[in-house]
Amino acid sequence: MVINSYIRKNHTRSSIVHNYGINPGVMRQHHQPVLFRIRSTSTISSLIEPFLLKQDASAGIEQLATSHETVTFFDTFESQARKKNKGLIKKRNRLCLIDLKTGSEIVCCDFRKNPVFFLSGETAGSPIAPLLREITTLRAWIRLCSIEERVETFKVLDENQKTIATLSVMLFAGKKAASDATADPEVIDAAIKILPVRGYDEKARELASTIEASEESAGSISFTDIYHRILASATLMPLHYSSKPSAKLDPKSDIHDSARRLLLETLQIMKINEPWLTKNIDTEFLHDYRVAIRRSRSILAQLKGIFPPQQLRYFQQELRTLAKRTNNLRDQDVYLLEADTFSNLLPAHLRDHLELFFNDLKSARRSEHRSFSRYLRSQRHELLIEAWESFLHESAPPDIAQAPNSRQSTAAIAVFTIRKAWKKVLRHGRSTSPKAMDSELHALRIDCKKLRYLLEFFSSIFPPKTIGPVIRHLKKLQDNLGQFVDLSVQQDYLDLYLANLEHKPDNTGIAAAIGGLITTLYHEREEVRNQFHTAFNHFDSDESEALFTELFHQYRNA
Amino acid sequence: MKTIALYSIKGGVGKTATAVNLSFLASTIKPPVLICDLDPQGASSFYFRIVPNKKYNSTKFLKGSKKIYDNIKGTDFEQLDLLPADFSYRNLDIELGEEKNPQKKLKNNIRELSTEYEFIFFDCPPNLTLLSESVFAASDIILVPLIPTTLSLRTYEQLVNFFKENNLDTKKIRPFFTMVEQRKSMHREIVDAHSGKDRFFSQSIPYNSEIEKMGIYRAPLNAIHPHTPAAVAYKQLWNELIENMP
Repeated sequence: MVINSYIRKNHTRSSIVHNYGINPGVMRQHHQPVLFRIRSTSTISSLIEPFLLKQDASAGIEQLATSHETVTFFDTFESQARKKNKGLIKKRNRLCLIDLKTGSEIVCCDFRKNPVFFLSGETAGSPIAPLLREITTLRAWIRLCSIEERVETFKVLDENQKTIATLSVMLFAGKKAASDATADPEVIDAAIKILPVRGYDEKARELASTIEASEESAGSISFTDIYHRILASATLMPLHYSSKPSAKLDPKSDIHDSARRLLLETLQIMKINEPWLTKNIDTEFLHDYRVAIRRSRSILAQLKGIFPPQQLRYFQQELRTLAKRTNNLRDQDVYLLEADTFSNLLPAHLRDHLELFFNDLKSARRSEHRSFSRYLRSQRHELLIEAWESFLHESAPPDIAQAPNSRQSTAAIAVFTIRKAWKKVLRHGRSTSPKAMDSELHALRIDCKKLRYLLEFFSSIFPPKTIGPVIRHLKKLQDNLGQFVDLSVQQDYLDLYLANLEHKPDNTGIAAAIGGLITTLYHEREEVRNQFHTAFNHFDSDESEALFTELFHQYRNA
Repeated sequence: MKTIALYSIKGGVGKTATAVNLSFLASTIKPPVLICDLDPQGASSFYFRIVPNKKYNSTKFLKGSKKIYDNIKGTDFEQLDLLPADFSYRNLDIELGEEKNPQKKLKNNIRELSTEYEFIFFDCPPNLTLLSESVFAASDIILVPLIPTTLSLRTYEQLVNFFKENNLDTKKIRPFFTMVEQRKSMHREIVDAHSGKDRFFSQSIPYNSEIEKMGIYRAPLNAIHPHTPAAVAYKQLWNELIENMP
């Protein structure tokens, strides 16, 4: 039997079906494609021959289409699409969200740009926008890599010349290097996809098992497996970024060791974010960077007697300065993120005036970002990071006279500091006046943050079942306080802006808009203030106390 | 979901050709679409090269949803599925007669498919039986292809009278002319007299040998030769149908 006789190219029907019918990428739910990894040298003939030999002589295959395209992959810095088993690709002039398990398209839209990064909001109005927004609104979609994809699609026909399945032979290869256009790009992966037509599952299964059993196949895979190979070979972005340190601590080891490990990990998070945040991609790089600094500072302040104080003073001061330098930038980010919300708070005729305010803000942010990026490249900053890193790498235990607690067990220090921070929150919360003054709430918010960082810092030595509910209880109180402080900061900023506004008739509109915002934010803030005592009482409850007690109980003898 | 029956008491008037082409057009515009071949001759199944599963028969068809669901097959066109007819369908009427409420049977059987398809087409066998009554009850529109001859018009009147006598909704009946040959004066006169009037669609389908050739290449004309006069006419008929959809 000559295999090539099965392949009837240029057959009239193939062009018909190509124009109207089967689109191998789009399918309804009852068609589940099957994927097999194959040799990069496999041909359609070698793959299909064993199956066709068992069929009626009039069965065969027919070529449907061939394509050769560059595919660009996108994801966020936190791989948010991949974590939901989705991928974002650009092929020709289309942007498609794909299901990573099957590689099939979920939704596509026209996309004629070729950006290095973009935000979900930039696709607004297209069918893909709501799905992208569901994955992320804050983080930018960043180009991970581009590869070459060759696909040959065939129809498998039964003895009535009816299509029972489509077969796609797929080859994935790296991009040709511009410097060496003659060299063949490296093959990343090869696979065959079988997509049964409804009602022909039995035949399609026979086809699949014949292909799987053949020497050409390296077994069944999902598109995720191919995707991992593609990323491993081509992307420069970190694939497993997390903004939280995740080292597993030993409760018995010296606190000096544990603290160093966690602080080193937190420093790594700072270092990973630095180059990206200077590129002005999204606001989360700076946010994560700030949280990492705050985490480090909070831990240094709370774990007393673990590092020699003279050395520590320099780092504490420098980290504080570094954090301060990011404050304006972060405030501006928050405003710009809230731009739409702010506009919606105002009646329509005042909205236009806000534009001026936001334009001022954007230009202030630009210069702030430039100056902070410059600071990150400065010698002073480089010195800090280097010194901090080598300080944390120093594993020899410090002089006991200078750092009396450094040899205590991790568990003992964890329980001691968490208990202390928890009691402080309770003490300050209980003494908060019925009116809940600004200063009281501001201070309590900081107490809560300290407690939160400690809990997260040491979370690995506690069972998730006990530490999880504790953090959740605290988080509810923090949400209330955080909202209050955010609204206060926003009002202060607006007050300041209003005070600095020149007194001229042109500015009446903007003054009215800012005034309107201040009033609305004031009412919102007072509402949050009114809810404070309820939120605190929920945290200061028997239930909450039982959770903390259970947490400490495990290490009562430490 | 909308259900459209292709129905005629007379045979050989272009029912299947219309069902095949209109369902294909529907699947490209408002997918997905199912075509139910109810004619034991299985002409629309043949046009799509589909053979029913060996175990499929009229009894399974009458059992309804799950049994129907398992026997639906994909055509070569992504958004168009077909429930093939089995030769045992010739007994459908007898079996229907044994059911409790035969007129409602089809309507109940396809209810579960309503979430899956935008349109369901029924390609009916040429007669006026219990199955036809079941189809009438299940359909939103009953498309009646007519060759412009006096005999055809007579069968159409018989159908309308049958509806009136049985208190059925005559508004569902929408006739249109097929196999129209402009060179025949009787065709021209009958088409002029009725098209666009009463319940008649104004678009008619010209006689075209390409339609007959569908039996050779076994695919919708509108998929293969979308610019032939008959295919263009089907397209316009579809547009007119959509505008008049109840």
